Amino acid sequence: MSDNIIWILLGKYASGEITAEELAALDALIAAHPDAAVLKTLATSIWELPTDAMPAHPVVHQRIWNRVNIRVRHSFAWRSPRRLAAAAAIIVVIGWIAWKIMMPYVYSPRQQISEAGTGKLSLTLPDGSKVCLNHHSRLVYDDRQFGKKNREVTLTGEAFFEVAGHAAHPFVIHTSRMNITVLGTSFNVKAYATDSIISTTLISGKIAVSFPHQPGKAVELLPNEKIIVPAATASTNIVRSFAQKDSSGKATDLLWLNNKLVFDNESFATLAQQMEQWYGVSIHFAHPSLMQLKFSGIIDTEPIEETLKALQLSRSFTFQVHNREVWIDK
Amino acid sequence: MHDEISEWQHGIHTGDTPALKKLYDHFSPSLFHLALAIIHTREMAEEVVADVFIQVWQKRQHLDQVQNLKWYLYATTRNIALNYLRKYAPHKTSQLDDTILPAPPAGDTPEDLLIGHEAMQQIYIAINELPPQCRLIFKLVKEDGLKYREVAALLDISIKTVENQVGIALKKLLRIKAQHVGNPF
Repeated sequence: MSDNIIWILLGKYASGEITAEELAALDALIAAHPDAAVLKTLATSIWELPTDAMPAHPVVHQRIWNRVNIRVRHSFAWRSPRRLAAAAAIIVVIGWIAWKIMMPYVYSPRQQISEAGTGKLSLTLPDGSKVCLNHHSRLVYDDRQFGKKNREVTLTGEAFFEVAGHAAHPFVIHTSRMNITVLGTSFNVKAYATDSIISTTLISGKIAVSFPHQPGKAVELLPNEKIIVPAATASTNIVRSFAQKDSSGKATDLLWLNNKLVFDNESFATLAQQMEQWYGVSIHFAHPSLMQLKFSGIIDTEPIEETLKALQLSRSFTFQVHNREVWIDK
Repeated sequence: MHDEISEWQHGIHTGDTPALKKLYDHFSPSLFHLALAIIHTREMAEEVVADVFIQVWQKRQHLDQVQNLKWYLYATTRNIALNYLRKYAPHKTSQLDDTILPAPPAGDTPEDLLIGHEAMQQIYIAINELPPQCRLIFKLVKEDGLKYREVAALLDISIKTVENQVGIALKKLLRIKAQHVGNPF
């Protein structure tokens, strides 16, 4: 016990909790053991060591913030609750009258927009369907119609859907080049504005895919099938294939759900585009020949410098990262 | 630092979202660590931290009445984490889990140069090898700058326990450090 008391007092000394009385006791203890004289200095220096300089992983940090942000943006506060009650009552009366008069003539959609920033965003739609949005993706639907008159959403970017069964209205996803009609199922849609192809991979259930630029044409997809259309409007080429699986039997198109960026013998140009989305950076090549280098691999949650260093192991290039700009050189 | 927190507190009170983001950036890593120590799973700890800041925002009209915002954040995190635990894992004990301290920062800080990288590494290893409760208490006192009585209230333990645990942590860490400066004791 008397052995421990010196450590307790040192802890209080280093953390600034010590009282004058305790400090006197500590000094007396130290005076009795000359060897211990250095302990006060050491305790202070331990305290000054930066043992916690690393914050949470940026992806996690951003993911939590997205969750907060979506709630913050969808709430609006009033300073005075009493005034709010009065205002609300008046608005309700006026609103109800306006609704009655205007409703048959006016249709004003109310858009509900969900956006994932650099992280991912999971949301549940009013009909119970679940959507996981990949980074820099955006889902829009009409709050007033959805679940009542239709179940239509518009997607830019990539998302995984688990659609709730709902006999009254089919679930329809609009993208720039594909419309997907669903009756209770789960599947992945990739339709980033910057991608050269747009694809849908079906995991379970059944979906029908139609094409806004080719009216009348429709394809029914079966589980583990994938459909790809070029993003360029001039092209009418539609490719139907099987979903690619990794060694563990998981569809590679779903790996992003576990925070992984997967590339298989892809050119540096394509990879750079994916990394730009993944990390929210701009990548510049000093020589066009560098864009032809091919890479295979999986990016998990490591920072961009680590990823580039790993890529350097298979192909020779140099890089510089400054703020959100990355320069690749020979 | 204290002025900045009051500034953010006032900003949030008047509905300023960038102030909420600043408060989030400053406190969320520490609060995440605390939540994780209570509820074990990363996913739930993320939800807890999100809920803390959502609650701060929802109650912003009354935020000016909060005396000590830092303490408020820690206590709210503790409360929400315990609620989650009761709701989703009633059979689990609320024993403190093996939450590992983050890896040491790279680069040459003055401390690095003073005691050498190897010694630093050993101190990090030693911190991670402390018993979970001891490590959490040490972290809350040293890194997060909470008072002994605040840590005691937060973890529902006595001030004596906090004193003892900080002492034990210091004892173990100083042993290592002393070896590296060549001081026998």
